[in-house]
Amino acid sequence: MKFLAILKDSLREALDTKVFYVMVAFSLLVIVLVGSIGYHPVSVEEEAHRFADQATWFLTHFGEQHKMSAPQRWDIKDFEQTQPGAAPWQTGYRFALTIEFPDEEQAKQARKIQKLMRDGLQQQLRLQFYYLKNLKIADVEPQDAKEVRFLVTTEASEVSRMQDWPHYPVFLFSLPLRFWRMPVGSFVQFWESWLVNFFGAAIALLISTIITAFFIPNMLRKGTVDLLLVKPISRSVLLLYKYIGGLTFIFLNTVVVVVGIWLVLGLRTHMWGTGFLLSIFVLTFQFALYYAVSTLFAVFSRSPIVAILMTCLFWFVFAFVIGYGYHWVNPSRKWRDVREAQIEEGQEMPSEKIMPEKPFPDVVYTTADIIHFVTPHLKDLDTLTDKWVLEDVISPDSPQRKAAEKAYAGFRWTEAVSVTSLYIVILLAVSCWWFARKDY
Amino acid sequence: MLIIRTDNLTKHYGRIEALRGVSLTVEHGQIFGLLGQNGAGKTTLIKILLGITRWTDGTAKLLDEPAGSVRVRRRIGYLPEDHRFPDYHTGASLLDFYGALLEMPRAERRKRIPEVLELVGLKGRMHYKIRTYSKGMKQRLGIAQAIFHNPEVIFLDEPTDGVDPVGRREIRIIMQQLKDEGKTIFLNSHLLGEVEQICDRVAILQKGEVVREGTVADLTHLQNHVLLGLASGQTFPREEVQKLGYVISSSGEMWEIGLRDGQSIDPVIDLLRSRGLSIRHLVEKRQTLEDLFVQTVEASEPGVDRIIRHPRRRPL
Ligand SMILES: Nc1ncnc2c1ncn2[C@@H]1O[C@H](COP(=O)(O)OP(=O)(O)OP(=O)(O)O)[C@@H](O)[C@H]1O
Ligand SMILES: [Mg+2]
Repeated sequence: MKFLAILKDSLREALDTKVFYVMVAFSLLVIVLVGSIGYHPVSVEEEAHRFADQATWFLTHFGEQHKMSAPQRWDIKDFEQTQPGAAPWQTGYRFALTIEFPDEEQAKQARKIQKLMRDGLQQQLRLQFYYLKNLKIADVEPQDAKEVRFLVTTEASEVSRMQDWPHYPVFLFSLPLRFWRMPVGSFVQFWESWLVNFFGAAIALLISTIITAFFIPNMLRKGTVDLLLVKPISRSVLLLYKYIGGLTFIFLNTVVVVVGIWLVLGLRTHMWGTGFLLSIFVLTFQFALYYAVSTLFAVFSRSPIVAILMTCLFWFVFAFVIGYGYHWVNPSRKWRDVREAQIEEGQEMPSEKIMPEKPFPDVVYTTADIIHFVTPHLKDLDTLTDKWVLEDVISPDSPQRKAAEKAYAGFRWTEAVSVTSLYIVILLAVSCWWFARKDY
Repeated sequence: MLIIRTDNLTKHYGRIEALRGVSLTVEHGQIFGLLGQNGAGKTTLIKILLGITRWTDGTAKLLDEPAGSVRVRRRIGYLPEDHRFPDYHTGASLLDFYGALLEMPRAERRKRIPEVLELVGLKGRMHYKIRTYSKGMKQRLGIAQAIFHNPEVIFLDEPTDGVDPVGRREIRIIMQQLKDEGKTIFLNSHLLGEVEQICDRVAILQKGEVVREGTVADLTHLQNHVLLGLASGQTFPREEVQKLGYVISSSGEMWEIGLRDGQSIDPVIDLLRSRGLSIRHLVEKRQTLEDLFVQTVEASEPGVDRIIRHPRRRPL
């Protein structure tokens, strides 16, 4: 009951300072923005026309510089699905790509080099329609003396579900971004990871820190604290309740934001994986650490400004410098493996020089490991949400998923959670000890 | 039954000696007034008794528990000086919050809030934010929260600070009522007139030391001074009385007669009677608490703080 009373008191305080409404407005804005993005399946016919239009446009504007002076108009004709009526990802396609010249003479000239053009064109089209299988291009007889004609055929894609078919986003209900094509799942993963790690982990945590940093110093103000200290509740419990009160408050807010985003993304994409929801706990856990830092400095200094600045410093040192630093140093151990694999796959040319096994001397790795081990594993926790989101939305056999799983294999989650928890416990214990023996 | 007992209580704030061997007792059902100049250590003493501040040496007991024990806090009400209520609360919600911390059941809080706010004259504004209250209204709210949970012992640190004369009288009446209900009140105040009216016992603290302690009657009672007045028109035979060995001074219409040790006023009365003079007044002279206070304080060294050279240890 005392806990509820303190929680209610914190809530009343937060509502009183208008910052709370700013936070709610901010959260709603993010939810609405995410919800305003629609995902439309890419249409092969439209894409083909776009390809032709772009070629026409490009050659009209820059053709001369490229010594392809003849004005020409590219077009798509006789577009058809090999299986009429089937979903876009379950059918092959056949269409004619035509190039129309102003006169027959120019067309004739062009036809002479049609075979040469064909190979380049096939490469271009394969890049454009990377999601279609076995795209082939053949020369065919022109149906008009002024044109050059190719026939493009493809088999159906390997995609079996709609969400794996490329989509493009439409922002604010009306602004399409057609060149950004990804499977829906990748969009969901992009938003969820970005929202958690950028908006969630940085901005929302900063706002939360600012809002909650006032709770404890306000309670400790001269003339206010006296009234609480004479209530039948021990000082440590009072401080812990106040801490948990602030944490609960942020937890509830996180629930609203994360569930809100999850709902609008689900409604938009019909992907209802629950991994993203687990980020509520990761974010709250990270905040628990920041709030413990804030609490400690609030008890030391009774100043919200000091508490906020020290929390930001803590974030900068542990999450930013050490966190990102380690996540850069650590994988470098495997750089050679990665490179060798790339060479084997033919993606990379074997270089003359043999790469050293590790780019840094061992002492760097040992130091990095020790520092990483003894400091709160904040960045590891970020990765935890990434992993959950990824497992949700990316199919297990996609290369993206496989690469990520390899990267995550090295992280020790239990270590991350236990070391970080230990920090929370120590910070709170010191705060309570200090608070309990201080004269007010 | 002893409600408060301190023995040789000492408190150092760094190099400042706030309390120097204070030994006091307060009995059940008393209104106890603690007087002293600014910085004498009055607030410090209350804070120690309530566990807000720790003491350096000696013992302090409240309701038979070491001062500051969590267990007795439910039986205690406290109005701090310079209190600052969280101003996002309304009068009613503040009492509700404190009541919950005091383990009062919700139903009781509901019933008690309007009651106690009515008592201090705030009922009409109970649902307004505290930041809209005037200084005296906040003080009244302070009294309300100190007596809200029906505590046995109530500590009031300058309760009438900022309260208008009518309000002060109301507060005095409340204190009297509480006393009649058997509560014990520990009062810090600079308003000596008030203290004189309602306190049973007072102590004067001077630079951390108790320099006077006793009932108001005892302290204000001036031993060996008698005020004597005759019927109008009659002349006081001053020289003859002086010849009997008394110290005489005029005090308005009356005469003040000082008695030396062992001297009695009877020979003077006999003399006056034998002269056929009629005595209209004959009282023992009393001094006001203010006289006593000023006299006591002036007798001590001036200044507020006393710095010690070698602090025994540095408190936090
Ligand atoms: N937190 C503190 N830190 C250091 N010194 C303090 C502290 N609180 C009180 N003191 C010192 O202790 C002495 C007693 O202060 P206290 O507040 O008890 O005086 P007081 O009798 O209540 O005075 P007033 O009538 O002005 O309220 C003063 O010299 C004061 O400066
Ligand atoms: Mg004081």
